[in-house]
Amino acid sequence: MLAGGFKNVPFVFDAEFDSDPANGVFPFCGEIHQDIKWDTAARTGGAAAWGLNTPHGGFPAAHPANTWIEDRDGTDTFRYGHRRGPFATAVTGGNEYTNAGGALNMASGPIYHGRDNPSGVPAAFHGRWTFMVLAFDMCNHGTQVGSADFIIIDW
Amino acid sequence: MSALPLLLAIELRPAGLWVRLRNPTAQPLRVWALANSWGGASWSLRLAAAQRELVLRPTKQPFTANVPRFMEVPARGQAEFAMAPGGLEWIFGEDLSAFLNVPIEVRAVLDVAPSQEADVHLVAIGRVESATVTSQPPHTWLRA
Repeated sequence: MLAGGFKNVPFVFDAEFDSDPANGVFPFCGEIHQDIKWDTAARTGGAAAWGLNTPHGGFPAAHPANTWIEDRDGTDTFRYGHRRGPFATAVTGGNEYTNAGGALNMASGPIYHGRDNPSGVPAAFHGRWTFMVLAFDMCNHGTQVGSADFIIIDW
Repeated sequence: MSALPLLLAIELRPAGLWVRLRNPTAQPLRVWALANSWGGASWSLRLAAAQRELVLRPTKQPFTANVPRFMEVPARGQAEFAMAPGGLEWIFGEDLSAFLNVPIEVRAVLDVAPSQEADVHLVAIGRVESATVTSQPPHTWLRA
């Protein structure tokens, strides 16, 4: 779709963490993160279109194609689902943990709502981008919990 | 397009371009941050030199992890941030050769279009321009 002259593909990802304190299960341990990878056509086309081998600045410049890396914005100041630390920013409707009643609670809310909207000028897009949404137990060395979900965009 | 009730000024420094937003109103005002598609579409730099004009926008690269983040300018206060228009997201593919060795007239424009996200996040809609600032070569703020 095109909005404001940009091609974009919006999608949402929601999650709910269990709470069972008697058994040591706490929502504040759970985080949702998003990874991205791009194929060789995207890497080559992107390099020609904007001069980088990555979708934008913020990624390591030499990051190879077909290799997962945590998604981030162009200044690497924002990453999805971080409850605390330098990448944690609550965005209403876009990156938020809430209580069951909907009140924002980034520190320990059990419900996560994320929304991404990969966007850019139409000439910029090539190949395939794949996004992977994962849940982690940050109280247990960041162990992945549950299964991952995938969003594939063929530009 | 209505006028944004903000005062926009720019200052050229060797390492980049600083933007200052002053809010003379009694209410805090929100404007889009740069590193997302809403901010990218709103901010531009207008360069003029040697009878040529060039509009630069930070939209050469696409946006991932694209959420509508904003900055807030406090009531009767100000906010500052640095732009790096020498970055590839601003200048890749642009022919700057006519500008590099002559004085350049520079101004910034913030032009925020209505959107669902602006409604949700109470981001101010409208347009404001800075005064023109003259940059003398070598324009290090315009080089990566």
